[in-house]
Amino acid sequence: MIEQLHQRAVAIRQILRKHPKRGADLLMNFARRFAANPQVEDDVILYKVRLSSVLSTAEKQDVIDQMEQIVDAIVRDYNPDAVKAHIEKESALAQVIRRQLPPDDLVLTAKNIVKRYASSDFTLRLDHLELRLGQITGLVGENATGKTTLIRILAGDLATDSGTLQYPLFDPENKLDWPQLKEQIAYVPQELPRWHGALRDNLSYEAALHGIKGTENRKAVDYIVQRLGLALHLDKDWTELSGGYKLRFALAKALVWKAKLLIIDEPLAFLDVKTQLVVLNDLQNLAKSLRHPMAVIISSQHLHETESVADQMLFMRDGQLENLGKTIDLGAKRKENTFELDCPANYSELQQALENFPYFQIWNNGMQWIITTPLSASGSDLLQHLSVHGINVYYYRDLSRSVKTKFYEGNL
Amino acid sequence: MIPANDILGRRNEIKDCIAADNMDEAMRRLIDFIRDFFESMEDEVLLLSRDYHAVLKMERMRLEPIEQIERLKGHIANRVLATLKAALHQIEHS
Repeated sequence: MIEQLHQRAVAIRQILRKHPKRGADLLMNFARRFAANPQVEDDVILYKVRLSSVLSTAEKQDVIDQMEQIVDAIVRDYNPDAVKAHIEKESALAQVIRRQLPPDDLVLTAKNIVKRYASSDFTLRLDHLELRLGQITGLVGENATGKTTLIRILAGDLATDSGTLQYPLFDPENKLDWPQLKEQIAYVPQELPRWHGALRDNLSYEAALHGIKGTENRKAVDYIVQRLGLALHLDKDWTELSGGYKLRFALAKALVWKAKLLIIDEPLAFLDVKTQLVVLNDLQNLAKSLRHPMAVIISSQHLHETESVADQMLFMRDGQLENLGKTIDLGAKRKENTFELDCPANYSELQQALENFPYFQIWNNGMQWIITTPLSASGSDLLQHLSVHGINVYYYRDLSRSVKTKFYEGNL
Repeated sequence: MIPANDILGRRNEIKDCIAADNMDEAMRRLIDFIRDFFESMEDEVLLLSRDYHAVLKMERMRLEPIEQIERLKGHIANRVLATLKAALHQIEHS
């Protein structure tokens, strides 16, 4: 073991000199696993933070030297018993405070919902839907298929023609007292309503509307402002905020009173990629909070991003809602694999390259090639085969377990 | 995603965010972590977050030289790590 540790240390030292940031990552992992003193890992993290700042060559070399000394110290002081004792101590501490995951209480249930519009022949139909605490539900589908209609029904914004809608957590006796019920539902529509005054006052007002007053009100506002990173924008009004911050503020208004049901229509529509990730990450972490879990339903055209955070997926087509079940089970019963790729080859070149490859179909969606294969042919098999035949793939995605295949059903 | 009740996994995620120079995410996750496991430290963490945003404001408005901003950011990173350590020590001492 000591010999392996020495070899690893030599490798980390070399990488530190050539690629300091990469070396620091390796050293952090090395310290986490082998340092007898747990403070060493934190020291490495702080050196890595320093490396990310603007440094002169001499300062940078000084940081690298310090990290090399840490490598030496880890090897010199390595004591398997101390490392084991530290791991056991931390595990024991974690057990002391270990909390059960919160129960996934039923927040909303909808059965046999039908909604017709007199002005058109559109009809929305939903057989069965459940939303639970701690879960995110993704609602996707083509444009004008009824996503917003469904969202508005669940938010109590639109009446149904028939069917059952229940909110067991807020309304156990199923009285459907809508004014009272809607106070429990946080609804963020696609077109955010304009507000007046500064963010701080609006958040405080929203919390007060839900009975949070005095010190608790200030604390609730402070918490959500810090949590959603709104501190630098608190005194701004509507006209001074970007689309991303308007959405974050709308979320803050919903979260400041600890809503248990958040219904959010197309939150990603006008956000840049980085902000989309931040918003989705926030929703995921906040929904799964141990102390204040909530049920979240998001409608979106951003399929992959929504799938990446959703626990269950819904697909809407021509007003008919299809409940696809748990996201991790998507495609589990599929009969073929589906791959999406982009390459400079045309149809006949691609067909020729795949002559001896077991594919079912090649189809172009207008932008990329969609290739279906038997389950026995994997994505890496396909890429390797194309590479061997001189086709350079510069975009690839395995759709086999993605809701995106639903959009191609008529074509494949 | 690390289960919400995996305290050590969540602590390590925060450390990884700091190491990856993603202090915004580290701060958000720290606030969630403390709210879920160490409610009594919530005020302390909100204060830390306010200080962090004050540094960001200085940076945006160029109120201080870059070296000073980076020193302050390093100091915030140090305080986040110290908070994580203090949280676990709190269990030990109780």
